[in-house]
Parts: sequence; structure tokens; C-alpha cells
Amino acid sequence: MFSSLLTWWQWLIVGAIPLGVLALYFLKLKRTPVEVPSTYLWHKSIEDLHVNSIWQRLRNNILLWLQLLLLLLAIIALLNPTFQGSKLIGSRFIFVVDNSASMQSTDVIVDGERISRLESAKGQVRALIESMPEGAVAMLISFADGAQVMQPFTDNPNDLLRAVDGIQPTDKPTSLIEALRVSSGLSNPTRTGSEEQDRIKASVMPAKLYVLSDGKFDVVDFALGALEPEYRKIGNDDARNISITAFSVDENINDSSKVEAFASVDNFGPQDETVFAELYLGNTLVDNVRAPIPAGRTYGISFPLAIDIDSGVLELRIRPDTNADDLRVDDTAWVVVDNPHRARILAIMETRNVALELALGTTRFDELVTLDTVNLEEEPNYLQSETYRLQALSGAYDLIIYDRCRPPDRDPPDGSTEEQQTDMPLCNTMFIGTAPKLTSWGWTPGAEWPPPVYIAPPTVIDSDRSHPIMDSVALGNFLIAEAFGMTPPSGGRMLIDSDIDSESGSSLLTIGPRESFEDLILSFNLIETAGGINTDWMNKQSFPLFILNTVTYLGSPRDTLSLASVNPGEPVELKIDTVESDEVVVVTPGGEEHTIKRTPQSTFPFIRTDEIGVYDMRAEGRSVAKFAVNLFNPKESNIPPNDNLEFIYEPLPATEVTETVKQEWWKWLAGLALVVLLVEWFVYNRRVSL
Amino acid sequence: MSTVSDDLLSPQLLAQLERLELVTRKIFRGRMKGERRSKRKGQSVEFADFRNYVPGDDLRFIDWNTYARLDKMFLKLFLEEEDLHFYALIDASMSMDFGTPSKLLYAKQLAAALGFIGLIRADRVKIESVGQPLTKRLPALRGRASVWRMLKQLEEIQAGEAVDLQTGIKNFCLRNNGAGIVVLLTDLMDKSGYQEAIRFLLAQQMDVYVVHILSQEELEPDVSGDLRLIDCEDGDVAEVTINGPLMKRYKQTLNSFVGGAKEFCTRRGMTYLLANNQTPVEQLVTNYLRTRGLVR
Repeated sequence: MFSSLLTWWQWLIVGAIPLGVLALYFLKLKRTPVEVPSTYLWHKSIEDLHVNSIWQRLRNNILLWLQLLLLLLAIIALLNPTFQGSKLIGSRFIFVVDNSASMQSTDVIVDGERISRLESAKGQVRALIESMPEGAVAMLISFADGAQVMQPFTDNPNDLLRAVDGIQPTDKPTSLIEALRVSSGLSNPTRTGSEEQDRIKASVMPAKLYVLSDGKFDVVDFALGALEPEYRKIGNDDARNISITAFSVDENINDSSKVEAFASVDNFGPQDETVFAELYLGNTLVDNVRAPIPAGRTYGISFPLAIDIDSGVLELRIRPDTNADDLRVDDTAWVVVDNPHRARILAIMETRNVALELALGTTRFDELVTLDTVNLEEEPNYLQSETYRLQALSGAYDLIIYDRCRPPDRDPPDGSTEEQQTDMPLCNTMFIGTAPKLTSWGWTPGAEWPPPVYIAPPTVIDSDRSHPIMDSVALGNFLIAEAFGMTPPSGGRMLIDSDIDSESGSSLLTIGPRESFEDLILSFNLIETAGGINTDWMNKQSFPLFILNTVTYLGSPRDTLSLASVNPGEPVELKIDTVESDEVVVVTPGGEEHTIKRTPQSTFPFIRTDEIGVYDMRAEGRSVAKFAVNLFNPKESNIPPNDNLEFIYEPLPATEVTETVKQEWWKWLAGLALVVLLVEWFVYNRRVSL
Repeated sequence: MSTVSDDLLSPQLLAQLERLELVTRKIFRGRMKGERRSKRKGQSVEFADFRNYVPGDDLRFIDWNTYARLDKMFLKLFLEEEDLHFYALIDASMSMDFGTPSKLLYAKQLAAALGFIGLIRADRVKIESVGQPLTKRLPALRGRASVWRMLKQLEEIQAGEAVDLQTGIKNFCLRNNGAGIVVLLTDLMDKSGYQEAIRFLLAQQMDVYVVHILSQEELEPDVSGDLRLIDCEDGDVAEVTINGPLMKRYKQTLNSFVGGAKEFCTRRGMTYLLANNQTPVEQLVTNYLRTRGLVR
């Protein structure tokens, strides 16, 4: 079969060449004039060449035939004939090529040479494109964690082939779902909503969907509809890979004065391997270790760090002694060591709240939190003071807890006597036994606030265990004397529901957003200002856990030494307190620079984390922060390809393709043409020699 | 001798030529008393025939011995010795001007050599060119003393006569009706053909020698590539691409041309001789012409 390398107009030019060669045979040569005694004998000699028919002139002209044969071979070579390859059937094709991290594995052997899975997939797609029937349209999509349309539907194979060349490997994880959504756009038109007129909006256009991947992704929950999928498995079942699946730096559990680096190394290959691991700080070798890892097992490596690291980048490199590793991208990991970030919390109490103080005073809190407490009994005017005002409005605290008190109201506009909303601080807040006067929370001017207390002891009906604040908090079995009910504001959530039947709602614990902050309202007092308790929750195990969750969630402290690793392609949002500028420059591991701006929430979001490595954020001419992007993804690192494409309804087995790359003939034809050219040259020389 | 004459006849050649004489296979009637047998019966020492005596015959030739035996008078006849007509007819067309030495010079040398032999043997020698007008008659030369005049005549023949072979020979025949030896010195390169022309000589009952002079360039052309060959006589053009096969075909054509001429001449009792202008004239005269029987 043929797949032309040229477009139609190029073919016109090529087709004109043989005619040109023929024409050259009729063209008069520029001959050197020579005077001779008589042309008598010459005329007689060339008489039989001067026959009338032009075809007679070409008769037995072996040079012409050789030249035409040469051209014919060249033209056939340009047609790019191939064997091993059947015509695709259909008129609409979608080629979906995986370019995730695992596709960088070099376990495909073609002609004795190791090539990456992506190259192999691209080769197969090229072969498929070349075997498309005339007039068929095809589309090319590459996908990793998202999908990218490399070439929309076209009937020009050259455009498709160019688009195939444009597919580059990425370090990202794999998700097929978006590629399927893009593919199905035309094949499965959405339906009209109403039941009476359930009509297809556009005609269904069935398409053949070729998925070229190693199948390293989650089960795909997607209805294919008119798409007819075919899974081309890329990769070798015997692929070997040693990978770092975790790497972090933390204090020694037994001795908090010591720091250790931890890594887990997995052997995903079929053979036992011995791995040599090297730990670098910057470019200095800090430690190394050799460890045997049986096939399919994980090995934990810890490096006790003798040197005192405040900040810096630790790099871990591994390599198997046999060098049998088909995927290199997961053989290096970085961790950025930084000082822990402690949450700053201000607790303002109407009167001394021993229960709260106890809950905030555990050892764990000492590690996480810098706590300031204010007792309004001792400083009655604190909330009105300038100190509070500056601290609250400058964002000095991550969380302010108001126990039975609330911030002062806003200053009314001039001349207004109307009651104003509460002047909220610029941080997250927690209210205990009270609520801010905010219209979003259902407050109206003149209304009783907090809402009236529901006298009958409320009973906890339900709690939202999925929220981080309620994580592992087992409610029930505690009593509440008095409480008021709340309704979550728009975007908020009810965390504890009760049987309170009041106008203001039934929620006992409610969280709601306020601009970029969140407010948590506990609608019952823990203790009474007058003395005595309102609930016995403080005696239960769940209470300190609830306070810990609240502080962790709303105060967002970071206790580990290392910054969390980012997965490739994942967005990063960094809060950098030490920068005054509103712009920072992020230098990627590849050296590209991206300028990002500060958001109103005082964070710097960065989304182009495509490469693995260390990203440096620079501002005011210095490095202000660093973060590491690592492929800690066992699914990507476990490189032996899946035999089936795991669709939720039924698995799609891989189609066996014995010949990964089609044998192309053009090289042989071009060689033959060269031989013909040599023969022609020989014949020509023999003829002109006297 | 002038330089030109020197070119035509070198002293060494003259010495060789002294010993030679022209020969004819036919017996012609001469004009004057010479050194050759003639058809005419006359006064020589060589007996020819008897005939009956008729009154008035010279009594000195009666064979008295026969009269004594037979009592009849017979007259003894002797062969007459006369001179020989030698014509050298030189083709002086443009094509003869080619070659090193040129074919014309070669022809002149040959004519001079043969003419010299004729002069020293008391034959009548006439040098003419093909292009000589019908009305212009040159005197026949006789005797050693005429060598100078012969050479002068030869010098006056210049290449560039635009008369075809047939007309030229016809004119020659009209001018010279006497029998004798004619040596035609030509390259036979006449597009209208040489056969008709040579037939005129046959009709004259002459002993014809055709010396076909071809230059080395014609026999072994040293040309190659894509050429436009221009005929120097009529400007005719032949476009050729010289290659192996064409060269082969040219040689075939040349061979058939030469062979055809030879066959044509031989069949008609003429002597044909192919002369390459590279062959020295001395060798040609003393060797080839001798074996052909023109000289002895």
C-alpha cells in the first residue's frame, strides 16, 4: 500500500519530470561547429538515425529507458510504499495518545534499539494515519492529567502527521476521562432535556477511537456511546522500574532534636534489584546507601542528617546496580526543607474558660500554634482598643476565637443611627455561644442577635463527618442545656444538626465563607459567664479533637520541616509573608521564568508545574521560596502496561499489534534508483567513449 | 628550384624517379617517335608481321629469304616505337585542401613525380586540373627540359575550384581525345557521385588510374562530442554526436565507400589505389604504384 509523502501540486511537478526528460531527448544540443572536407560520409553514417518518425529516434535508446526507470523508482519511493498494514475501515477516526510520565519508559524495542513508549505510540499513530482511507477524517488528542487536542478533525494526513510530531512527553499522571469527553463531543451529541421531546440535537457520528496508552490510569466511568474504542497497548510486560514513591524530611520521632530524611523506594520490575541511593544537599553528597529490594516490594530508606538544615533542597537519586530501569523520571526526588509555619491564634474570652484553655494548651498545640489569650474580665476594653484593631485588620493572626463575645460593630456612616454589622477581622474566626451580626448569616438590623436561645435541651441529630473539622470527632452522648439554631449562609455547611425548631435554623455548628476567610459558629456556650457549665462536651474525648481540627483547619499551621511535594500538573498556592512586592517570578527547573501576581488573599498561585524538579520563586532579587514537584505516583511508576482498558462497564482488552512499526520500502527503492543511476552512467560513458 | 618546386619534388625523389618509367597495359598510337611500342608499324628492331608486297613498298623491307624459298615477295613489318600520352588530372576542389599535408599538395607531389618520370622517358606529359575551363588548353610537355614548366603548371593549380567531378572530367575528355595514361588524383568526395565522371574516361579508351587520396582525418577522424560538421564546399551541415557506435558506423561507411570505388574501377579495367596522405610520396610511387603496374 502507498501513503504519499507529497501533496497534489508536488505530484504535478514530479509527474512533469519524465515528460521533461523525454523533451530533452528532442531538444537540439548546442553543438560545436567543425569544418570538415565533406559531410558526404557523415551524412551516410547518420542516415539511419535521421528517420522521419520521432519514435524511431527513441528506439533502443537504452539511456532513455534507464532514465525513465530511475524516475519511476524515485516516484514509487516518493509514494512511500509499505507492507504490513491494512486499510482502516471507516471514515472518522480519533487517535488518543498518552503522553503521561509512564510513557517515557524506554522498554519498547524496535530494530534492536530501545525507544520510549511515546515514540512507539507515535509510530503506531503514524502508521494508522497512513493507512486511513481516502477522504476519511481524523482527530489527534494527547492526554496526561488533562487532554489536549493536537489536531481537530481533518482529512489532511500531513497535518495529522505534523501534529503527531508535536506530541511531547510530560511528567504528569494519567487520566483518560477528559480525552474521552473531548472525543465524544461530536460522536455523542447531547440530548434535549425535556422528556416529552427527548430528541437528539445533532446526528450521531460514529467514530473509531484508538487509545494508544499503557493503561496506567483509574477505572474510566464513561459511556462511550457511538465511539468504537480500540486499545493499543504500548509497552513491554517485562518493563523494569525502580522508583521513589515518597521522600520527605522530618524530625526524628524519638528525638525531636534530630532530623531525618525518609524515602520509600519501590521495585516495580519482575526481578530483585539492589539499589544505590545518593542524597545530595544542593550539589554536595550528604549520604548514600545500598539496599536490596525484592521484586514488587517497597523499601524504606532513612538518612539521619548530621548537619543542621534550616532550609535548602535535598535531592535523592537512585539507580539499580544492574542499570535495569526503563523509567528515569522517577529516579530523582527533591524535597525543600523549610522552617515550620506556626499558626498564630488569638483567643478572646468573656471570662476565663478553663476548658478552652486546656484544649488549646496540649503539647501538640505547643508545636503547632503560637497562642495569645485575652480575658475581657481583665481587659474589658480590649475589643475597642487600637491594639486589637491593628492586629485584627492587619492579618497578624490566622485565627481569632471569640468566646461569648464578638467584635465591635462598624462605625456608622455620618448621621446614621441604624444598627451596623459587625466589623470582622481579616482572618478566620470561631465564635462560641455567639454569632457575628452579618446579613449573610441572617442578621437584620434591629433583630435580636444572637438568635434567641432555644430552652429545651437540643439533641444532636447528625454531623457532617466529611468536613475536616469533624474528622474523627464522635459526637453523641453529651448534653447541651441551652443553644440557638443557625442556618448556614450561602456556600456554608451545617456541621452539626439538631432537633431545634427555630426560625433561625437548627444547626449547632455551622461554617460559612466570608470573602477569602471562613467563620465557624458554635451555637452554644461551653461555660456560663455567671459560672457553671452549659454542656458536658468538654469532658468527652471528642472535644479536644474538635478544637485541634478547628485550629489545624482554620489556622493552617505546618509542622513538618519539608514543604509538601507537588504532583506534576497540580496547581500550587504559596503564602509568602516575607515579600512586600505584589509580583514574584517563578523559575522552573527547565529555566523558564513566569511572573505571577499576588491574589487578594495574599497568596501566589502557580499552575505550570508540568516538569518535575525544584521551582524557585524569586522576588526583589532574591529567592523567597522554593517548592518541589515530584512524581510520587505509584500508578505511573508501576510501568508494566495494563492488558485491559478499565472501563466501568466492561474492560476493553488490548488489540494485538504484532508489527509496531511498518516496514517502509522507500529506502530500498531509493537504493535501487541509485544503482540504476550508476548503470546509466556506465552505459553513457561506454557510449561516448571512442 | 624554388621552394615550392622543392616541396613537390625533392632531389632524393628525383634520383629514385630517374630509374623508373611509365607503363601502360594498352598500346596506343603516339604522335611522335618515342621510346614505346606503338600500334603503328614502323622502323624499329622488333619484328611484328609479314604482308604481301604491293608495288610501291619500300624494297628495303622485302624479306629476301622468304622470296628465295617461296618465290613470293613478302614485306617484313616492324613495330614502331612512339611516345606516350600521360595525363595527370588533379581534383582541386575545396575538400582537397584538407589534411596535413593537404590532399591537394599530396596530389601535386604525386603528379609531379609521375610527370617527371614521363618527361625523362620522352613521353608527352599534360598536367590539368578538374576545374580547368574547356577552352583553356595547356601545351603538352616533352623532354627533361620541361620539368620546370610542369612544376610551374602544378604550382598554378589552387584549391577552390567549384566544378563538380563529372563536368570537369567531361571537359577534360573533350579537350584531350588522344589515348594514353590518365591518373586521376581525387578524393572522390562528390555528392553527385563519381561513377558517371569516371565513365567518361573509360569512353576515351584511356588507361585509367584512380588515385583516391584521403587524409588521415577522414580515415581516422579524431573528433568527439556533440558537433555540427560543416561541409567546406557547399556549407552543408551534419549534426552528429560522436560516440562509439557512430564511429563504428562511419568506418563501415568509409569502408563501403572505398570498397565500392575499388570495385567500380576494377570491374571496368581501371586501376584503383587508395592513398593516405600520411604515406610518403616516394613510397607510394616506388612501391604501391610499381606493384599496380603504373611504373616500372
